[in-house]
Amino acid sequence: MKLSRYVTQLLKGNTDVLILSTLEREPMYGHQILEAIEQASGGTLAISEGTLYPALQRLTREGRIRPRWTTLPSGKERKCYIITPKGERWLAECRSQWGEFSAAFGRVARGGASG
Amino acid sequence: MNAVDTGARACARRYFAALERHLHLDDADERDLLRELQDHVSDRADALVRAGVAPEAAHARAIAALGRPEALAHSIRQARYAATWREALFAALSSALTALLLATGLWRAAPLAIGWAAAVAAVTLWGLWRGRPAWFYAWASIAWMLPFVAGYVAFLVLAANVAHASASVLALGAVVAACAYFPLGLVVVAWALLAALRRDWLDATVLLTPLVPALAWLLHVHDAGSAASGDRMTMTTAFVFAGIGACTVGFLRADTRAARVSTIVASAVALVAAASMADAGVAAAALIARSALLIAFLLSPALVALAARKAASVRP
Repeated sequence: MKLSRYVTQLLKGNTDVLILSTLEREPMYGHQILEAIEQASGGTLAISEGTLYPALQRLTREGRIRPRWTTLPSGKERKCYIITPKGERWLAECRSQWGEFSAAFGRVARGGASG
Repeated sequence: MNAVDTGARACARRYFAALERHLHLDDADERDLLRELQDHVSDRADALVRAGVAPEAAHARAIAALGRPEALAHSIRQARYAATWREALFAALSSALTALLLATGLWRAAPLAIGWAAAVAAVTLWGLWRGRPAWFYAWASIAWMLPFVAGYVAFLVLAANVAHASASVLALGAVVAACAYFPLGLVVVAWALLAALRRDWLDATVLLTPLVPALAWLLHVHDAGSAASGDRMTMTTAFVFAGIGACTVGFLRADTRAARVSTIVASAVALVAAASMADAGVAAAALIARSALLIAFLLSPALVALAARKAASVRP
C-alpha cells in the first residue's frame, strides 16, 4: 500500500515509538522489526531500511535499546536489539502523551472546536 | 556458483564497499554494522525468494531497499554523532577550563595544573573507552598537548639540573631522555591524528585546533623566561581558548557537514582577529594572511583524507 505524504510524515515522527513497542514484546533483529511493524499494522505502516538502521543507532546511543549478537535456532547469528529500562520508561511516557494528543486532536479534527 | 549468484554478490560487494567508504566509523563498529546490514540483505532476499521473486532480482531489491550508500552512511553518522546540547557543552568544558586556568594564573600552582592535566587525561581515556562519543575530540585535543607541555617542563628541569651539576652522567641522561621522549611523543601524536583521520578528517581538525594557540603561548613563556599571570599574551591565549570552547559548541550542534566546515572557517577568522588584538598595529594584510594560514592548517586533514581515498580507489 502506498502511504500518503501525511501518513509518511506521521510515521517519521513516530519511528522510535514503533521500534520500541515492537521490541517490548521480545528482542528482535533489524529485518524482524520491519516485518513485525508491517504485520502488526496490517501492512499500513512500513519503515524503510534507510530509516530503521539510523534509528537503531540513535536509540542505542541514547541507551533506550542495547544490541547483542545472538545465535538463532537456525544456527545463524543476528544482531538482536533489547529494550532497556530507560527505553521502557520513555515508551510509557510517549504512550501517555500520545493518548492525550490523539484524544485532543480527535476532538478538534472531528469539529468539536467549532461547537 | 552460478552466474546469477556471482552478479548478485558483485552488486552487494560494490554497495558495501561504497558504504564503507562513507561511514567513517571506528574499525570494530564499522565491521559490526556492515555485517549487520549484510545479514539484513540476506534475510530480505530470502523472504523475497520465498514470496516467489527470482534470486537475482530478490538480491537486487534487497540492496536497493537500503537506499543510496552515501545517504545511508550519512544518516547513520548523524544518528551516532549528532551532539546534544549537554554533549556540546561538556565538549566545550575542556577549553573553558583551560581558559580559566590561564586567565586566573592558577596554572602556576603545580597541584592545580597537575590535577587539571590528570582530569583531562582521565576524561579522554573515558571517551576512548566509550567509543569516542561526540565530545571526545574536544577533550583529546587538550590531552594531546600534555606531552608537549610535559616535555617542555622536563626539558627546563633537566637543563637547570645539568647547569647546576657538573656530573656528566646527568647531562648524558638528559640527552638520552630528550632523544627518546620527543620522537616517542611525535609517534603518539601521529598515531592519534591518523586514528582520527581514519574516522573523519573533521575529527582530526578538532584535534589540531588548540595546537596553534598552545604552541604560541609556550614559545612566549620560553622567550619571556616565565609568564606572569595576567600578562597580555596569557590573557589573549585564555580568550582564544574560551573562543575555541564557544566554537566547539557551534561545531557539534551543526547538523550538516557543510555547516561544520563553515563553523571551522568562521571560527578561524574570528579567533585570528581576536588574537591579533594583542598585536597592536597589525596590518590588515597580515591579518588576512594569518587567517588564510590557520584555515589551511585546520583544513589540511581534508587533503590527507582525499589523498588516502584516491590511493584506495587506485588500489586494485
